[in-house]
Amino acid sequence: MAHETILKETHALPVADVDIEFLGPEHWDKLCQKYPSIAQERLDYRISLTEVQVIEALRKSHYIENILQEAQKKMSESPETVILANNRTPIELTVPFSKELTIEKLLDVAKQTLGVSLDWQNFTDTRTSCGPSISITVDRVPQPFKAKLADLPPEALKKLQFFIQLRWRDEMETSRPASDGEKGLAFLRVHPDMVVSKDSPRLEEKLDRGTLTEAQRRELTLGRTEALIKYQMWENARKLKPISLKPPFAINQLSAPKRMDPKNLTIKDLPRKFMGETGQTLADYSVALGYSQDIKGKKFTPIGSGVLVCKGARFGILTARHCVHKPGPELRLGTPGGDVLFLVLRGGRGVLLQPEGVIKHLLTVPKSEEFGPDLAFIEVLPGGGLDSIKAIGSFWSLDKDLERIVSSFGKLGTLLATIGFPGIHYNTEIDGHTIRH
Amino acid sequence: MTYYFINGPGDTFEKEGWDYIENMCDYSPSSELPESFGGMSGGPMWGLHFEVDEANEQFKLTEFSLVGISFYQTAVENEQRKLRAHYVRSIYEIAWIGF
Repeated sequence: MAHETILKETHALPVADVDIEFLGPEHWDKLCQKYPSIAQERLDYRISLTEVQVIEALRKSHYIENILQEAQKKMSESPETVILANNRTPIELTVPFSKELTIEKLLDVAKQTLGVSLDWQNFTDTRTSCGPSISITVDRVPQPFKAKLADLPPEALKKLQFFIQLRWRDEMETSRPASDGEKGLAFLRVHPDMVVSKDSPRLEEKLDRGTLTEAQRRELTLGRTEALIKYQMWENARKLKPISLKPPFAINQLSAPKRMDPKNLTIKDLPRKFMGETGQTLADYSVALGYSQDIKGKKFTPIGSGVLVCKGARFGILTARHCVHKPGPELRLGTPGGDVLFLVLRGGRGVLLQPEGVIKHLLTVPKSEEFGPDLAFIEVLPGGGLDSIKAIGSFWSLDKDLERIVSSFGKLGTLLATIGFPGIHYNTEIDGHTIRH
Repeated sequence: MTYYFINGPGDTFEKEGWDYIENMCDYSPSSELPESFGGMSGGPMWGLHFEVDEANEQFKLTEFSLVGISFYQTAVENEQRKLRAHYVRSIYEIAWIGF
């Protein structure tokens, strides 16, 4: 069967059948013995979640903070590790959980972790729709959402399954935009073999709903939906398996250690609260930069990001040279009648700096766009503008001990935070004295 | 916006007297990263030290330092892109020679 499929596919290529050799099972057996770790990895579909990932999955399910804290407490006080299979793929989730938590929460963890959406999918060519219904089952019997794991007999805990049932309609789902269906169809056209049914019409053929029987429409719709859901589950699982993790996660082990050892920390272990608080702290020094050729600064153009620094007795903004000079906008600063500089500081508070209140220092002479060097310092002269900035933000001293910074923060494994304002997030308007972000 | 990375092997290097740090960004289909880091240019990169309270699994920022200034993003290739920044010596020392 596999031989026939391979030959059938190669007929579309400029390869003669005589040029194709089929290696027997001995060959693959030798390869497996030679590369046991790779073979084992390919066959190991068990994914161990961390407590942090479980809580994060619940957070994405829109549980409020009190509930999350309560769940965390229960996981700590009465821990129970659950192995959760599913009826669509061989993937198994190992979930740190608690007997005091409900089936509903376990369902939410599985749904979020494997990326299963309850949205219905429209298929515009067959004018049909399909969507999943999910539950946690034991021996294919759905368990009540409000039941706690402690309510189940002990042997049932070994048979838990994330069960996805597909429901279809012989009409489009009017609450969903037709474009959703087009996206799904576009994906399946690229991956036609993912549709399970061998009798399904080929997707590159133009389908006419009228030529299909209801049974064909049903089979095709269910097959397509299953393919899309399985793809999403594998994609999510792929990200959770260390072998397929890509940088910046490649140096991390997603199956985080029980002990929260900073040396073994992964980006995904970082609690959202910590990231939020750290971002707030660092926001004191960060600025978004814009400029206006209008002296009142009514219409401003975003140009990049920067950091408030002081060097000796001079205060200003360290940024990339191309943000304020060719090949970027060549800001006219330092003399009256130039460009007005606009800063967005901590908490979205804005400060306008008149051109005579700032000086542009180009610190580097670039040799290339890729490697620069590309740095500039916009000095803010003593006066109203500087006082306004000091009232809101903080200036980082560049006179600190360089060697100490290198030795302390230059080590491998150091956690880094990059702050800035990607262009797509700019949405600032100035109306009189009102600044809206 | 704040994006977190870990300083990995080969991320820092020197070229023609300047030092650099690069962070790899994952652009697989479910990536939530922005299509472009265009407006990030000039933004700071911070090194972070923190403590972990194992009992409560609480993370606490203990010390931080400015370590870089972002200025360049590579094109996305094989679902990856690098963010390049000038590193510690460039921003504390080399850039200010002759200032």
